[in-house]
Amino acid sequence: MRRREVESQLEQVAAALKTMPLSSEAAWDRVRAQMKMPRQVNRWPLALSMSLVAATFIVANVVPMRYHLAPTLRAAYLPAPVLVERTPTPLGWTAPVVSGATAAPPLRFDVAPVPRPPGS
Amino acid sequence: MRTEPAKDDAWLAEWIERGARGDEAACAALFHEFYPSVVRLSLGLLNDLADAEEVAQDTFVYALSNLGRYDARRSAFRTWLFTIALSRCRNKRRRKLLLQGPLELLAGEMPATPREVETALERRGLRRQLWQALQALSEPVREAVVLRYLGEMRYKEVGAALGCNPKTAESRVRLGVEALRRALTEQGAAPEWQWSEAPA
Repeated sequence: MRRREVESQLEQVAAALKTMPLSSEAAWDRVRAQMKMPRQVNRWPLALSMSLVAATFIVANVVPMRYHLAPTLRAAYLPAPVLVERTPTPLGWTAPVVSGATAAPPLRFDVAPVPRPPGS
Repeated sequence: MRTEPAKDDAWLAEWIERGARGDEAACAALFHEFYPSVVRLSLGLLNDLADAEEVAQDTFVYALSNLGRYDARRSAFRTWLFTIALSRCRNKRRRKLLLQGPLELLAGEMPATPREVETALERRGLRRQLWQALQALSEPVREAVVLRYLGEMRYKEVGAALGCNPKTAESRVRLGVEALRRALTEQGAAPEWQWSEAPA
Protein backbone atom coordinates (compact mmCIF):
# COMPACT_ATOMS: atom_id res chain seq x y z
CA MET A 1 0.00 0.00 0.00
CA ARG A 2 1.35 3.40 -0.90
CA ARG A 3 1.24 6.60 1.01
CA ARG A 4 -1.05 8.23 -1.52
CA GLU A 5 -3.57 5.45 -1.08
CA VAL A 6 -3.66 6.01 2.66
CA GLU A 7 -4.22 9.73 2.12
CA SER A 8 -6.99 8.95 -0.31
CA GLN A 9 -8.58 6.58 2.18
CA LEU A 10 -8.42 9.26 4.88
CA GLU A 11 -10.17 11.69 2.57
CA GLN A 12 -12.82 9.06 1.91
CA VAL A 13 -13.27 8.50 5.64
CA ALA A 14 -13.78 12.26 6.04
CA ALA A 15 -16.33 12.19 3.24
CA ALA A 16 -18.07 9.19 4.82
CA LEU A 17 -18.33 10.97 8.16
CA LYS A 18 -20.09 13.86 6.44
CA THR A 19 -22.96 11.50 5.66
CA MET A 20 -23.37 10.64 9.32
CA PRO A 21 -26.70 11.99 10.61
CA LEU A 22 -26.39 14.59 13.35
CA SER A 23 -29.22 16.16 15.31
CA SER A 24 -27.95 19.70 15.09
CA GLU A 25 -31.33 21.30 15.94
CA ALA A 26 -31.47 19.51 19.29
CA ALA A 27 -27.81 20.38 19.85
CA TRP A 28 -28.51 24.05 19.10
CA ASP A 29 -31.37 24.04 21.61
CA ARG A 30 -29.00 22.73 24.28
CA VAL A 31 -26.28 25.25 23.38
CA ARG A 32 -28.77 28.13 23.39
CA ALA A 33 -30.16 27.04 26.75
CA GLN A 34 -26.65 26.90 28.22
CA MET A 35 -25.79 30.31 26.80
CA LYS A 36 -28.89 31.80 28.41
CA MET A 37 -28.05 30.38 31.81
CA PRO A 38 -26.58 32.97 34.15
CA ARG A 39 -22.85 32.77 34.14
CA GLN A 40 -21.27 31.06 37.07
CA VAL A 41 -19.47 33.71 39.06
CA ASN A 42 -16.17 32.62 40.48
CA ARG A 43 -16.65 32.92 44.21
CA TRP A 44 -13.32 31.51 45.28
CA PRO A 45 -11.36 34.81 45.13
CA LEU A 46 -13.84 36.42 47.53
CA ALA A 47 -13.84 33.38 49.83
CA LEU A 48 -10.05 33.27 49.81
CA SER A 49 -9.65 36.96 50.64
CA MET A 50 -12.25 36.73 53.44
CA SER A 51 -10.43 33.75 54.90
CA LEU A 52 -7.12 35.60 54.73
CA VAL A 53 -8.60 38.61 56.50
CA ALA A 54 -10.10 36.37 59.21
CA ALA A 55 -6.83 34.51 59.64
CA THR A 56 -4.95 37.80 59.91
CA PHE A 57 -7.26 39.02 62.68
CA ILE A 58 -6.99 35.76 64.58
CA VAL A 59 -3.22 35.70 64.37
CA ALA A 60 -2.90 39.39 65.17
CA ASN A 61 -4.86 38.92 68.39
CA VAL A 62 -2.51 36.45 70.04
CA VAL A 63 -0.32 38.15 72.66
CA PRO A 64 3.08 37.89 70.94
CA MET A 65 1.61 39.53 67.83
CA ARG A 66 -0.27 42.14 69.81
CA TYR A 67 3.00 42.98 71.60
CA HIS A 68 4.42 44.04 68.25
CA LEU A 69 1.27 45.49 66.73
CA ALA A 70 -0.34 47.36 69.63
CA PRO A 71 1.89 50.18 71.06
CA THR A 72 -0.10 50.43 74.30
CA LEU A 73 0.34 46.74 75.02
CA ARG A 74 4.05 46.97 74.33
CA ALA A 75 4.27 49.92 76.67
CA ALA A 76 2.49 47.93 79.36
CA TYR A 77 5.09 45.20 79.11
CA LEU A 78 8.02 47.58 79.31
CA PRO A 79 9.52 48.44 82.75
CA ALA A 80 8.31 51.71 84.16
CA PRO A 81 10.64 54.61 83.39
CA VAL A 82 12.77 55.62 86.31
CA LEU A 83 14.25 59.06 86.79
CA VAL A 84 17.90 58.89 87.64
CA GLU A 85 19.68 61.88 89.05
CA ARG A 86 23.38 62.56 88.64
CA THR A 87 25.10 65.69 89.81
CA PRO A 88 28.15 67.27 88.21
CA THR A 89 31.04 67.89 90.62
CA PRO A 90 34.54 69.17 89.98
CA LEU A 91 35.68 65.54 90.13
CA GLY A 92 33.09 64.29 87.67
CA TRP A 93 29.52 63.09 87.83
CA THR A 94 28.14 61.53 90.96
CA ALA A 95 26.82 57.96 90.85
CA PRO A 96 23.26 57.78 89.57
CA VAL A 97 20.67 58.03 92.26
CA VAL A 98 17.11 56.95 91.67
CA SER A 99 14.95 59.97 92.15
CA GLY A 100 12.39 59.83 94.90
CA ALA A 101 9.76 60.96 92.43
CA THR A 102 9.83 57.75 90.42
CA ALA A 103 11.38 55.31 92.84
CA ALA A 104 9.13 52.35 93.30
CA PRO A 105 7.81 52.23 96.84
CA PRO A 106 9.04 49.20 98.75
CA LEU A 107 6.65 46.33 98.87
CA ARG A 108 5.05 45.99 102.25
CA PHE A 109 3.45 42.76 103.38
CA ASP A 110 2.81 43.69 107.00
CA VAL A 111 -0.80 42.67 107.03
CA ALA A 112 -2.61 43.38 110.27
CA PRO A 113 -3.28 40.15 112.23
CA VAL A 114 -6.75 38.82 111.73
CA PRO A 115 -8.66 39.11 115.01
CA ARG A 116 -9.42 35.73 116.44
CA PRO A 117 -13.01 34.82 116.99
CA PRO A 118 -14.08 35.23 120.60
CA GLY A 119 -13.56 32.19 122.77
CA SER A 120 -10.85 30.63 120.64
CA MET B 1 -6.81 19.23 -0.46
CA ARG B 2 -9.79 21.49 -0.49
CA THR B 3 -10.31 23.48 2.64
CA GLU B 4 -13.85 24.15 3.61
CA PRO B 5 -14.69 27.82 3.28
CA ALA B 6 -17.78 28.32 5.38
CA LYS B 7 -19.68 30.87 3.37
CA ASP B 8 -18.64 34.02 1.75
CA ASP B 9 -16.10 35.67 4.07
CA ALA B 10 -18.13 38.88 4.22
CA TRP B 11 -21.18 36.96 5.42
CA LEU B 12 -19.11 35.14 7.98
CA ALA B 13 -17.64 38.40 9.27
CA GLU B 14 -21.13 39.85 9.51
CA TRP B 15 -22.45 36.81 11.40
CA ILE B 16 -19.54 37.01 13.79
CA GLU B 17 -20.06 40.71 14.35
CA ARG B 18 -23.79 40.30 14.85
CA GLY B 19 -23.23 37.28 17.07
CA ALA B 20 -20.80 39.25 19.21
CA ARG B 21 -23.54 41.84 19.70
CA GLY B 22 -25.85 39.07 20.94
CA ASP B 23 -27.87 38.41 17.79
CA GLU B 24 -29.28 34.91 18.30
CA ALA B 25 -30.02 34.35 14.61
CA ALA B 26 -26.38 35.02 13.74
CA CYS B 27 -25.23 32.66 16.51
CA ALA B 28 -27.60 29.98 15.19
CA ALA B 29 -26.26 30.48 11.67
CA LEU B 30 -22.67 30.11 12.88
CA PHE B 31 -23.61 27.04 14.89
CA HIS B 32 -25.36 25.27 12.03
CA GLU B 33 -22.54 26.12 9.67
CA PHE B 34 -19.71 24.78 11.81
CA TYR B 35 -21.25 22.27 14.22
CA PRO B 36 -20.94 19.21 11.94
CA SER B 37 -17.26 19.84 11.24
CA VAL B 38 -16.50 20.33 14.95
CA VAL B 39 -18.33 17.07 15.76
CA ARG B 40 -16.38 15.19 13.07
CA LEU B 41 -13.11 16.58 14.36
CA SER B 42 -13.97 15.67 17.96
CA LEU B 43 -15.14 12.23 16.87
CA GLY B 44 -11.79 11.61 15.22
CA LEU B 45 -10.02 12.61 18.41
CA LEU B 46 -12.31 10.98 20.97
CA ASN B 47 -13.67 7.95 19.09
CA ASP B 48 -17.06 8.34 20.74
CA LEU B 49 -19.99 10.14 19.18
CA ALA B 50 -21.70 11.11 22.46
CA ASP B 51 -18.44 12.57 23.79
CA ALA B 52 -17.80 14.31 20.48
CA GLU B 53 -21.23 15.94 20.50
CA GLU B 54 -20.80 17.02 24.12
CA VAL B 55 -17.40 18.55 23.38
CA ALA B 56 -18.72 20.26 20.26
CA GLN B 57 -21.59 21.79 22.22
CA ASP B 58 -19.22 22.96 24.95
CA THR B 59 -17.03 24.45 22.26
CA PHE B 60 -19.93 26.44 20.86
CA VAL B 61 -21.17 27.59 24.24
CA TYR B 62 -17.71 29.03 24.89
CA ALA B 63 -17.12 30.33 21.37
CA LEU B 64 -20.51 32.00 20.94
CA SER B 65 -20.30 33.57 24.40
CA ASN B 66 -16.83 34.91 23.60
CA LEU B 67 -17.21 35.99 19.99
CA GLY B 68 -15.84 39.38 20.96
CA ARG B 69 -12.48 37.74 21.69
CA TYR B 70 -12.14 36.32 18.21
CA ASP B 71 -9.54 38.17 16.19
CA ALA B 72 -9.93 37.62 12.46
CA ARG B 73 -6.40 38.93 11.84
CA ARG B 74 -4.87 36.09 13.85
CA SER B 75 -6.70 33.09 12.45
CA ALA B 76 -9.68 31.94 10.45
CA PHE B 77 -12.86 31.46 12.44
CA ARG B 78 -12.82 27.72 11.80
CA THR B 79 -9.24 27.46 13.05
CA TRP B 80 -10.26 29.33 16.21
CA LEU B 81 -13.18 26.97 16.75
CA PHE B 82 -11.05 23.90 16.12
CA THR B 83 -8.43 25.15 18.58
CA ILE B 84 -11.10 25.44 21.28
CA ALA B 85 -12.49 22.01 20.38
CA LEU B 86 -9.00 20.49 20.40
CA SER B 87 -8.32 21.76 23.89
CA ARG B 88 -11.65 20.40 25.14
CA CYS B 89 -11.01 17.04 23.47
CA ARG B 90 -7.66 16.79 25.26
CA ASN B 91 -9.33 17.48 28.59
CA LYS B 92 -12.04 14.94 27.87
CA ARG B 93 -9.51 12.27 26.91
CA ARG B 94 -7.48 12.89 30.04
CA ARG B 95 -10.55 12.64 32.24
CA LYS B 96 -11.51 9.39 30.53
CA LEU B 97 -7.99 8.00 30.93
CA LEU B 98 -8.12 8.77 34.64
CA LEU B 99 -11.39 6.90 34.92
CA GLN B 100 -10.04 3.89 33.04
CA GLY B 101 -8.82 1.04 35.15
CA PRO B 102 -5.12 0.15 35.08
CA LEU B 103 -5.89 -3.29 33.61
CA GLU B 104 -7.73 -1.74 30.69
CA LEU B 105 -4.75 0.55 30.06
CA LEU B 106 -2.32 -2.35 30.20
CA ALA B 107 -4.41 -4.48 27.88
CA GLY B 108 -3.75 -1.96 25.07
CA GLU B 109 -6.44 -3.42 22.85
CA MET B 110 -7.49 -1.80 19.60
CA PRO B 111 -10.19 0.75 20.41
CA ALA B 112 -13.65 -0.24 19.29
CA THR B 113 -15.12 1.75 16.43
CA PRO B 114 -18.33 3.60 17.29
CA ARG B 115 -21.37 2.08 15.63
CA GLU B 116 -22.27 5.32 13.85
CA VAL B 117 -18.78 5.57 12.32
CA GLU B 118 -18.87 1.95 11.29
CA THR B 119 -22.22 2.47 9.58
CA ALA B 120 -20.96 5.57 7.78
CA LEU B 121 -17.84 3.73 6.61
CA GLU B 122 -19.78 0.66 5.49
CA ARG B 123 -22.14 2.84 3.51
CA ARG B 124 -19.12 3.94 1.49
CA GLY B 125 -17.71 0.45 1.20
CA LEU B 126 -14.87 1.23 3.62
CA ARG B 127 -13.58 -1.00 6.38
CA ARG B 128 -12.88 0.06 9.92
CA GLN B 129 -9.16 -0.87 10.09
CA LEU B 130 -8.02 2.60 9.05
CA TRP B 131 -10.19 4.20 11.71
CA GLN B 132 -8.83 1.83 14.35
CA ALA B 133 -5.26 2.43 13.23
CA LEU B 134 -5.93 6.18 13.40
CA GLN B 135 -7.12 5.82 16.99
CA ALA B 136 -4.02 3.86 17.89
CA LEU B 137 -1.67 6.71 16.84
CA SER B 138 0.04 8.75 19.51
CA GLU B 139 -1.89 11.84 20.57
CA PRO B 140 0.15 14.61 18.85
CA VAL B 141 0.33 12.66 15.60
CA ARG B 142 -3.35 11.72 15.66
CA GLU B 143 -4.32 15.33 16.32
CA ALA B 144 -2.32 16.48 13.31
CA VAL B 145 -3.77 13.78 11.03
CA VAL B 146 -7.34 14.39 12.22
CA LEU B 147 -7.03 18.17 11.76
CA ARG B 148 -5.53 17.72 8.33
CA TYR B 149 -7.91 15.10 6.93
CA LEU B 150 -11.11 15.15 8.99
CA GLY B 151 -10.84 18.88 9.65
CA GLU B 152 -9.73 19.49 6.05
CA MET B 153 -7.20 22.08 7.13
CA ARG B 154 -4.06 23.33 5.47
CA TYR B 155 -0.74 22.69 7.18
CA LYS B 156 -0.60 26.34 8.17
CA GLU B 157 -3.99 26.04 9.89
CA VAL B 158 -3.03 22.70 11.49
CA GLY B 159 0.08 24.37 12.86
CA ALA B 160 -1.96 27.30 14.18
CA ALA B 161 -4.43 24.96 15.91
CA LEU B 162 -1.66 22.81 17.40
CA GLY B 163 0.50 25.76 18.36
CA CYS B 164 3.45 24.67 16.24
CA ASN B 165 4.89 25.81 12.95
CA PRO B 166 3.45 24.48 9.67
CA LYS B 167 6.56 22.41 8.95
CA THR B 168 6.20 20.58 12.26
CA ALA B 169 2.52 20.02 11.53
CA GLU B 170 3.37 18.64 8.10
CA SER B 171 6.01 16.38 9.57
CA ARG B 172 3.54 15.01 12.14
CA VAL B 173 0.98 14.35 9.43
CA ARG B 174 3.59 12.52 7.35
CA LEU B 175 4.57 10.43 10.36
CA GLY B 176 0.95 9.61 10.98
CA VAL B 177 0.22 8.64 7.42
CA GLU B 178 3.33 6.48 7.35
CA ALA B 179 2.29 4.79 10.60
CA LEU B 180 -1.17 4.16 9.17
CA ARG B 181 0.33 2.72 6.00
CA ARG B 182 2.53 0.37 8.00
CA ALA B 183 -0.35 -0.69 10.24
CA LEU B 184 -2.60 -1.43 7.30
CA THR B 185 0.10 -3.29 5.43
CA GLU B 186 0.85 -5.43 8.50
CA GLN B 187 -2.81 -6.25 8.83
CA GLY B 188 -2.86 -7.20 5.16
CA ALA B 189 -5.66 -4.77 4.68
CA ALA B 190 -4.52 -3.50 1.31
CA PRO B 191 -6.89 -5.58 -0.80
CA GLU B 192 -9.80 -4.67 1.44
CA TRP B 193 -9.19 -1.00 0.86
CA GLN B 194 -9.78 -1.14 -2.82
CA TRP B 195 -12.63 1.07 -3.79
CA SER B 196 -16.03 -0.40 -3.96
CA GLU B 197 -19.12 1.42 -5.03
CA ALA B 198 -21.37 2.52 -2.26
CA PRO B 199 -24.65 0.65 -2.27
CA ALA B 200 -27.42 2.62 -3.88
